[in-house]
Amino acid sequence: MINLLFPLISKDIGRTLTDEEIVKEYLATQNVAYFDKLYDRYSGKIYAKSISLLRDEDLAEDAVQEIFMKILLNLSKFSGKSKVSTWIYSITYNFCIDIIRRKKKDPSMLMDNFSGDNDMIDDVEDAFLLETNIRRLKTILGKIPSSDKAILLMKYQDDMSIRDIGSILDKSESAIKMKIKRAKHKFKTIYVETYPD
Amino acid sequence: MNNFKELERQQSEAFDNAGNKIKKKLNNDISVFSFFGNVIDLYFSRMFNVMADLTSNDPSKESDNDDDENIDINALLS
Repeated sequence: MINLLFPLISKDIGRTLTDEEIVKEYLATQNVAYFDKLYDRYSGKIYAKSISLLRDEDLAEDAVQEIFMKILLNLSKFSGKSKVSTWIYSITYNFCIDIIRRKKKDPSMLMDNFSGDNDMIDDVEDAFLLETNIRRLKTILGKIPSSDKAILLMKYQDDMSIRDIGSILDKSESAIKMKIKRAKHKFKTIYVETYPD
Repeated sequence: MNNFKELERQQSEAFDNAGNKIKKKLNNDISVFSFFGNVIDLYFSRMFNVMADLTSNDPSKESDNDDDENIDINALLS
């Protein structure tokens, strides 16, 4: 119906607009071309996160569709306090985490399920993770627990701040710093076990 | 060098075909939503007014309506 009301919408719409401007224009005009633009910018990234976390192509494709429906239905509630990308990723992570919880019937997903003193864990250099070759990175991400994987993706793939990660996972900044440290340690442990050379 | 981002790029590229299919489905869903939204906007608000008129026995309103009707008929006759 909206397409009928806006028959001459150019595919170039929103090409130079920021995400925030696209959201604003969509809310003001309900012009579906703006929503399409958001889809073009984010669907691939949402799929990449979904496939990394869910490890199932069909589930990941369904996730993309459902996440975009959530985005569409909640767009008017977007407050602008965070970046659009952070808001979209928070919907994505929460959706995938929810699916993993239900699938594994594991309510402890992303809870503080580690014990022990954080100071006992060695610091792992960021470069160690960032420079791991793609094939190995894929393998390691396939092996580490979803909670650690989600934290690492937020930090290294999405460049999210500690504060943003904390607000998505509803944790304090110090808890997030601790989780990142442990996730990096877990990554290195599994790497060394998998590739002892 | 950030291979997390490179991995994301490769996974995004693999999504292209399925992505177009999903985009079409979403556009259909949006069309259905806006259709029902329009129906609700157009008809439910009017139905609500009609129901409100019917349930309130306000004689002044009735006479107003009568006047409106007369005016319309006169306009048509002229």
